[in-house]
Amino acid sequence: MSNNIYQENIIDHYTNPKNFKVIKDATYKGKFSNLSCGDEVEVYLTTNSNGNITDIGFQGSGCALSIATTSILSEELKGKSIEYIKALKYEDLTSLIGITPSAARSKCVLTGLEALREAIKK
Amino acid sequence: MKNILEIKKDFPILSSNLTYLDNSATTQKPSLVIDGYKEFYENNNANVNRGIYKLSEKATSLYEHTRELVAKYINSDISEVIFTRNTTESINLVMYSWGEENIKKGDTILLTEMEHHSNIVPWVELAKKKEAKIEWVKITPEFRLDLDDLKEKLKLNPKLVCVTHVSNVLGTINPINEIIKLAHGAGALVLVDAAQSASYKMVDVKRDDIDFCAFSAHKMMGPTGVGVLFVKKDILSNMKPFNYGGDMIREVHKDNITWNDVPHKFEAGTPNIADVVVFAKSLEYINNLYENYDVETHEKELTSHALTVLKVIPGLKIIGPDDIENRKPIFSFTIEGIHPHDISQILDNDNICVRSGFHCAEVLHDVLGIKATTRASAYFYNSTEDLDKLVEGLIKAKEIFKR
Repeated sequence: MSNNIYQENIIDHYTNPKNFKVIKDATYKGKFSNLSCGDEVEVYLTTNSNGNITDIGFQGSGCALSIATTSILSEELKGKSIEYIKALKYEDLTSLIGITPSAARSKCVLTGLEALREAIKK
Repeated sequence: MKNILEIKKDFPILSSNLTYLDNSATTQKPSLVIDGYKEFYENNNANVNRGIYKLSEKATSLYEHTRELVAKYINSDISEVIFTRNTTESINLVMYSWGEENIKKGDTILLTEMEHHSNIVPWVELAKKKEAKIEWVKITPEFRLDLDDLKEKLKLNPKLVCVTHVSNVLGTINPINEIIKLAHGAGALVLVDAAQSASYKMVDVKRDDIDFCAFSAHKMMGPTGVGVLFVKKDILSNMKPFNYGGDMIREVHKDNITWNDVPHKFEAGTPNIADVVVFAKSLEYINNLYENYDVETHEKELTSHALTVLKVIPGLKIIGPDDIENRKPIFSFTIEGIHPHDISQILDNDNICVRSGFHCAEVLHDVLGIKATTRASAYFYNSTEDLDKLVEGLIKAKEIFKR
């Protein structure tokens, strides 16, 4: 774990986010806005008959941490179940991105997950 | 005239490797202010306005001495100065004690698009409750208040005009003398948010004929927890109390309660004695700066330096006036491709303190169509080297995000 959050993988995922797309006929769709900084992320999930995630997409704007974390998470989620998303915690995200941001930035890390939680709530 | 660059040594926190550029949020404190607490609690601590004993009289006279200094600082009468917790509470006091009684159904309250949330939210809430209307004075593409739009909106005969003296985002100085003349001509009272301007000794309530004025000590190198509200005497004497309880009363009987004289009528309960007493030290410090240093030249130099060096960064856009006239050294900006939070975090790695987000002015950001900005705000103890460090930090941020 590193305290320098601006590592190559974060910048890469920020400048070229994976799964940065809209899925029109998505099974689940959810949006989260971080009111304190104007960040906004919308996520799209498609699942198969077993309830496993077959496709994922997201759109939005935000800081490097919120966009990169959502991008990395989107890669992780393919083939996983909705239950898997429900069980995700903040610590799972920080270990996934490999850095420990300061407390003030925890909201940025959580932006994508909050959008996912919003999506599967319905 | 003494050399202003020497004052940095008066601020213990600045002796470390710190580049503090968040002065619009709060200012640092000189030793004179910090030592004021020890002096007060070791020698002068007692409750005010009640003891017959010498110590209480001493505490009372120190507390009232700050009121005298504030009155002198803003050119008001002593009885027109009320101590509150902060600018926000000062504005809320006006909303509850004046607004609740005077704003009626169908009335108009005029705000500007560049107001801080503290000068928006109380009025929007009051308008909802009273079924009154809120109108907004626009800003121009040059980030100035649109005075033609103000004249137009004054035709709606608003009861109250709420305007900031200096924008905490844009750095723009509003021509409040002209604005107040226009507003008074239309029969409106004017509330001036002086949170950013009081630290520059810009407030003169008589010259500008201000009706209400609010500001905070902590943005003037003074303590947190002390706000000031000025209200013109004839308005104040007709306002109902804000909080009820001790100190604000003259007599209390089972069947009859009478209010104390102004300003005490508006200061219920034991006030924030120590902080108010220490606030005097910061006023003395500012007065000394204005008397013995060429602060205005220094301020202009900081402004012109910042406007020049910030432009070196490709993709940087200053959200505020481009000329050094009628603006304060407050610089909000965006950099293409880098989020304001990332900019602040990268600057923090080099101990450079700036702010990112909406700066409590979300309406302004909406109007400008900007999601968030980074803000660097300088004060007297900053130097052009601090601004150069900021630029070096921004160049680092550009390098990190260059791909």
